[in-house]
Amino acid sequence: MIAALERIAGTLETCRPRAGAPELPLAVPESVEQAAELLRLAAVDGLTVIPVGRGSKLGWCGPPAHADFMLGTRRLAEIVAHEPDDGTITARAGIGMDALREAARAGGHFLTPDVPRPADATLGGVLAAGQSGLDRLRFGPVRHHVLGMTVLLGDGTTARSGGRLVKNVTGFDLHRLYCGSRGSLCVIVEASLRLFPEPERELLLTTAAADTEAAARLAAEALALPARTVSLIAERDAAGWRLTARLFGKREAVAAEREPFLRAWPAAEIAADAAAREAAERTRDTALESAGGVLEIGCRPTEVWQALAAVDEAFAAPRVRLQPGIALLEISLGAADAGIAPTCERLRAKLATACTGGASVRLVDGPLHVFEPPVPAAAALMERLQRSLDPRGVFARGRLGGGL
Amino acid sequence: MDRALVAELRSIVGDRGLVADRARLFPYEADGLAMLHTRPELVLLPRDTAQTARCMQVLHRAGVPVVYRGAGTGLSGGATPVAGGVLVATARMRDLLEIDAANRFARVQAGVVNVDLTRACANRELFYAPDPSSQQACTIGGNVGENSGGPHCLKHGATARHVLGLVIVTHDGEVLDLSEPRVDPAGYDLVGLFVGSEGMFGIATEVTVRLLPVPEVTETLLAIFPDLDGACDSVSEIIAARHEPSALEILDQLTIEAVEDSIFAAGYPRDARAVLLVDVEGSAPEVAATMGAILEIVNRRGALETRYARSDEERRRLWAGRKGAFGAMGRVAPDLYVSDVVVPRTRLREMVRYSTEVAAELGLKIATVFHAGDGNLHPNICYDRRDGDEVRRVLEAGRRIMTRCVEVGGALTGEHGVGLEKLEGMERLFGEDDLRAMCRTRDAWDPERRLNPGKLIPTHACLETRQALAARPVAAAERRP
Repeated sequence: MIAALERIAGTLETCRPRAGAPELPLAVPESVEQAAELLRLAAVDGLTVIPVGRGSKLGWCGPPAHADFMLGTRRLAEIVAHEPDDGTITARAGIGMDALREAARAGGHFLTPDVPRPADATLGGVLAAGQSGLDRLRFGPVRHHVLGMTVLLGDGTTARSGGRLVKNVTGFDLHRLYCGSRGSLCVIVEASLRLFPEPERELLLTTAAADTEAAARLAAEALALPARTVSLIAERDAAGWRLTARLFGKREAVAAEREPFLRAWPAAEIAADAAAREAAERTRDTALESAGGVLEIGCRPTEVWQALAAVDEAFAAPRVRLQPGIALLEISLGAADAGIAPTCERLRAKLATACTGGASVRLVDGPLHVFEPPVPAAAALMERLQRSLDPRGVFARGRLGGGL
Repeated sequence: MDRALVAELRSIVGDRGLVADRARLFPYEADGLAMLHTRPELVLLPRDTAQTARCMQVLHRAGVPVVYRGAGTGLSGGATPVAGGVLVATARMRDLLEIDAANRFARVQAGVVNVDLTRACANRELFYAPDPSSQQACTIGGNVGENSGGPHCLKHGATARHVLGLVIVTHDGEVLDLSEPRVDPAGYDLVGLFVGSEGMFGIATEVTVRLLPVPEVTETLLAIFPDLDGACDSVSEIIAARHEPSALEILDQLTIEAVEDSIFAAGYPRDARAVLLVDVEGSAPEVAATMGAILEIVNRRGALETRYARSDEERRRLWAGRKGAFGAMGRVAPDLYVSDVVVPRTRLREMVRYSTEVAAELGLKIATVFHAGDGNLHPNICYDRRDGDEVRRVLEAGRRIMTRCVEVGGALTGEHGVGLEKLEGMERLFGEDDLRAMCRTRDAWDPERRLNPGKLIPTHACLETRQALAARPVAAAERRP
């Protein structure tokens, strides 16, 4: 196998599909054609493949049932088309999110999702992981801004869906299926994204809260404002609660949003423009550093504080980050929390009582893979989708959870 | 249709839920693409998910093709019945199930009319953003099937961005309850994939949608132009200058005349060659700044006159004219072929000119009204379906416009769907492998290909499909070459 892979893609590297797992050969093709040839080889020889970008989100996936080699997309890194006057950009999957963001910025645009550590992430990796950014309150999840994709299926064939247009309903939106499929259906090789105007002004407001009740009140008051807030984060650590709101956009819009915010958060410190951006990016990149993974809990926005109470009843969470506007709690776990799986089950039970609309629980980058199981009828359909698009089982199973 | 089968279905939906006699079937023969029509064997009007599921189980056992229909306002033949098949319509599924203002979502039955949802939310200062021109009649379920748009989707996005959950009845009558909004899907994004699947993946019976807060301020501007070029160039420049209006719509002179002669009369100047209708939403200072910049662009691009709506009533009237434009065309000719193509927003002028030239060359009357800000063109061709030669020329014009759109980097449809009308164009835009991936995806949802057969994917384009068709029984519509 090694010789055959090297004949196609040159010298192999190695990569672990998860921390602690045995290393696998990593083929890093220089072209889409080489990537397709690797997949054709896998299909013919019955080999199992894991696609990877720069590897920053491999810990989001579970251990594969079996895998023979990994296929890296990082050399497929060029911008294919950038139309600043139409507000769209198309790039190969291996491009770094930092480079893509800079290209968009040079054209006068902001690129969503604003993911943590963009230099460690590729476009393909972000889309395959379905990773949304901290800008989600304003822009929504990443899947909403993918205009089209080109992927390689398990037999090495190329399949396109969508296009490069901001509005288009031609054919099935398969890119919505691929977004978040974590390499279980295809290798994403190219994607087109919608861009948004680069902000003229930016503010970052930061305020402390004495306790959870005060944090909840400050968050609710901020969310009730008629502002198009980019992100609203409430963080809790040993020092207590700290809330951060990011505002950006047209000069006049930001100026109009500033005063009501200051009335709601009278003690807030304000950073502006470059300082605001740097501070927001620091928060984005460092807030969730963890040794034991991040527990993500999703629920209805009105129940996010009840969900936090359920977490606090279940175990002593060292660091918590809430995005109350999108109802997402992220809990950084320490190395000592390695045996979190039983806690997750206890937590699910408590959340089922605390949240009338239900709640989802998953663990990323942890020593164990804890995933949110789909409803049974949906799980069966997902398996059929996987079998239908990858009938030979070229892409490693088991990494998405529930056998997928 | 087999009598025992009809009796079994009647026992599920009752007499009011079943249409079988010839005269009452007539209105269901076509959707908004009236030139294509087929009489269904039977129309079922289930009341809820449970009835739909039981009907689908019976139809699955009997191997009967099923076409899903909302209000039948679609314009691509997506709801055209299939010979020998059953139409499942959502006309009796009209309950607003839940409005959760605090969490900003609503759950509705699929047959709820689009505008009724926004009306129901109005006293909570919320609204449902997708606003197709047919919103007085079209249903939320139909909008899901087509991933419908509307003028204000320029800012807010089409239906897919607003659907948070679905209850789907599958091809064999299983109920897939994905109605609870989730931050991210558990597993694959089935809801996102389903939206825009044109009735080929299942029957949506309930929809959970996102509601948005009513904007603090909305300003509406009408800019009057001596030609279409100036209006198109204004839009391209507004987009290129990174402004974010919530709607940018253009109407040409023939459309203006038709609107002003109709009950939708909006006060558009009859002698204008084109008008550009602009909405900007946000805080008062932001709206003022954006409108100021747009005003400067339209004046530089040759606007003869600009008018702001001075009251909510005036704004409503201006928009009623735009949304009533298709209906008003009935004054120009008995039938209207509503084309729907999309191009990069830098190519608007070129495509509008080309459409006009094609119509002139083929001796057709064309009226252009479109979502210019999204690059979504509607070159509407007025014709008389009783004139066979004119129908031929209309279809030829539609084909040429579609082909040119693809050549300039555009696509076949921005919001009406592929349906039957644009089937042929799919092979122009997509390759065999692209279409095969779509076939395979559909097979996972509906392995017998009984749901809306013959639509969206040209089956002869897919070798794998041809082989599969030879190997197993499929719906009648797909056996045809």
